[in-house]
Amino acid sequence: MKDLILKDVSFSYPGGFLAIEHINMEIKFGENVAIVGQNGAGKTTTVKMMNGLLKPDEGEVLIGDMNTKDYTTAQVSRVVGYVFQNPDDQIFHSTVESEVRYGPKTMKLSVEEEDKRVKEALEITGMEIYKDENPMNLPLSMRKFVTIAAVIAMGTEILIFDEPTAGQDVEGNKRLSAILRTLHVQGKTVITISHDMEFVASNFEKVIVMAKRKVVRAGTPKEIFWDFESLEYAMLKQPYVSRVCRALGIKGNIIDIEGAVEGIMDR
Amino acid sequence: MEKSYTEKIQIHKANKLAGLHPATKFLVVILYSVCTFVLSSIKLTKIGLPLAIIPWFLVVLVLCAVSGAMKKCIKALKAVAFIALVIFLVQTFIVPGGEVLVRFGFIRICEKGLKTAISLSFLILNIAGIFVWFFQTTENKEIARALEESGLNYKATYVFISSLQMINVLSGNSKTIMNAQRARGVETEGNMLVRAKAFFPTLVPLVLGALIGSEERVLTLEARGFSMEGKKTHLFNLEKSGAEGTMKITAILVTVLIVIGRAALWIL
Amino acid sequence: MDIVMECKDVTYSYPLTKKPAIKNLNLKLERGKFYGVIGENGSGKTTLCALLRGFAPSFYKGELQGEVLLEGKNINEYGGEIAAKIGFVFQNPFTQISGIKDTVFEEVSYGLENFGVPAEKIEKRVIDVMKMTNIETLAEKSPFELSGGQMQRVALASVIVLEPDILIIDEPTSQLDPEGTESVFSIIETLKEKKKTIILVEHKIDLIAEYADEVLVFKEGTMIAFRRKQEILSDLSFLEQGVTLPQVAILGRKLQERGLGLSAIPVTEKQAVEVIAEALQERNK
Repeated sequence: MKDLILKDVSFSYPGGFLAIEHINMEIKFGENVAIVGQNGAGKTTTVKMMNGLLKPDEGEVLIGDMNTKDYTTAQVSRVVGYVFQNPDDQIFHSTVESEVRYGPKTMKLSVEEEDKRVKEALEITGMEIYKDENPMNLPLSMRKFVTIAAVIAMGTEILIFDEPTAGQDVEGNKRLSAILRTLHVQGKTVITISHDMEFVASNFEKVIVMAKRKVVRAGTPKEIFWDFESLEYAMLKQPYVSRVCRALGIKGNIIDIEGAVEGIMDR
Repeated sequence: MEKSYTEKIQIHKANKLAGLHPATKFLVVILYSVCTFVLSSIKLTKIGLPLAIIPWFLVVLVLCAVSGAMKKCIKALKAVAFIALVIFLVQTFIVPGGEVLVRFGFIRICEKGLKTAISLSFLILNIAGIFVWFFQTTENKEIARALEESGLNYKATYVFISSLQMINVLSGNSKTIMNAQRARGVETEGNMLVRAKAFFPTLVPLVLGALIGSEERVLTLEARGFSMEGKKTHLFNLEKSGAEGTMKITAILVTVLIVIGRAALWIL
Repeated sequence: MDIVMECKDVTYSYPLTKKPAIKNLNLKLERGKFYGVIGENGSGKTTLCALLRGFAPSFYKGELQGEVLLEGKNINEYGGEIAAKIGFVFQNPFTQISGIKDTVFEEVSYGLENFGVPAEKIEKRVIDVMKMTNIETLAEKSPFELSGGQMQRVALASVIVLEPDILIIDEPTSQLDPEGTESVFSIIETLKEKKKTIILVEHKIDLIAEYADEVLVFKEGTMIAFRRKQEILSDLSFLEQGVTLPQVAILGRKLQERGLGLSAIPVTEKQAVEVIAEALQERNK
């Protein structure tokens, strides 16, 4: 039941490129969080701090009472799973099932436990029907679900998804929503980077806005998507329905269609 | 006057040697390699060691220095030198055969081993060295243009040049992939065995990615009229440094002298 | 009607597949119109792009029945010069750089070099296009050092410079952040103003609603609808066909269901504000 804490973290890439400055972030165990911001804001760097892929130059990253500085990435990956943006950077097996099995295998579990993990991961992601397919024969958006299943099978209590919504169709977004819900119910901490403001508004309890190497603010979607100053600074836009409500002068910090319908009918 | 972009992309080299037309430089590379082989057949000292190719390597170093590319060349040569050194040591101390020349305790240096050691390691040093000189003083753009000028099919030219570029790209990709796999529990930090296990999970996505990428890239090229028939325009043009003639004559003369000299030694 | 491209009874299967990727496609595209193509992943949108551009079957191989016509002529009768008639941009910014040019300027010039355009003319054309796509400040940078959005703009510039009248653009913003998306769409807007024929595949339905004249809907290899944008994007039954509709259209329908009399179902933000404000005014009189 580990909280994830970044304390005053700064990091520069070799070559002197400053990527993040004095980042403070607290994500409680079980929270379902979205991180938003333009490319270059520092989102990916921050998130790579969380799974130990990068170690802070200044400040510290604590997972529970684990300080990432004291562990290798592979060790941290037992606690924090990370699904990369490009599934083709990770997939190297010839069937979906063996790809998903790889993670649990390296953890040297019993055969029953391994099977259980694989089955569950495939079910949660809706990939059981594809389990004997070659991942390379599936469309790119499906391959994303293969890597998601592979990381879920590792059974980590914290999961990071890097832009799972990019390139997804309606079906894909629905599947993602369902996965996030299931993981949340299981008590996992899930951190997602996304550029899809509509998706963020409807699927997360907490949103962290990043811009220009710093955290701008954190809050609920209702708070964030009506904080015009922060949105402008981070160069982000409100979801479409929010913009319409704003133009119509509807009160109530509306962020989704149901809210908009109520708000407008009450006018 | 502000330079136009077309002017800006041209390459002007002050150094006459570095600025030689790539075709001339390549001739030098070929002739140098021929000389290296010829010289390596000259047996000196009682046991017939191919010592001539050792001082011959100095020519590479002189070329690099006069071309003004010493620093770059030394850097690239370090890796080659390391391999050559390993081969030298292995052949000298481990390969048996022929007379034993020296003995320290259980370490022996044999005639055959020493011969092969010098021959192999300096052959590598010489040939790799002259290629290093070529690639460090010539940009990919110039090589591409020279290949086109020489009449090589434009598709082959493309494959060659993009492969050169790909080396950098792939090494960048391999880092990304290694990171992705580390995040799944593949240990990459540690001893040789550990790193060896990480090899396969890194290699497969790298190769697959390159294959998929190259398929898409063909479409990109098509969208730029790659397979258009007819004469193509070239914004980038090669400059001659003026020393081409001199260089060609020198290189040919030296080669002829060495070949004749070798033949003479053989007959006498 | 000036028909610029046509598909006659086209059925196409990729090599080694049993199911056709596109079935019985009959399609007429008019010059100067903006066509949005929507549908689930795997429904045939990308295959449509490949067919219209002549990559299927000439590049992908596979089996083609029926004909694809460009300006009345079968598309496989065109050689490499088709690149100056139809521009093609797709999803992955990275594989759209040629890989053999050191600067953005040379990258954009590459197509013109292939076409044998005289050197004196190339520079001006390239500068004009770089200005239009807002990449002039990147002219001397290496294409490998650009961000995803910048690479896509370079890819667009590199095909626009050949002055094609038709552009096929397949999910150009999938991998981009909001700023990158906006910069790509402002170029697409400029192309629309120049009256190019545009075929755009996109999941970002609200952007299709903004720019498209007509919309094509694909499902499992078949084109199930081809109508004016207003008609398709306000029809909620399409939600069951695996496509999403603009948020404002769904909002509009739900308001109508609740009894608010809207004069039309809005598909763009601007329309929504107008139509809802009008309806509220009416109701609250």
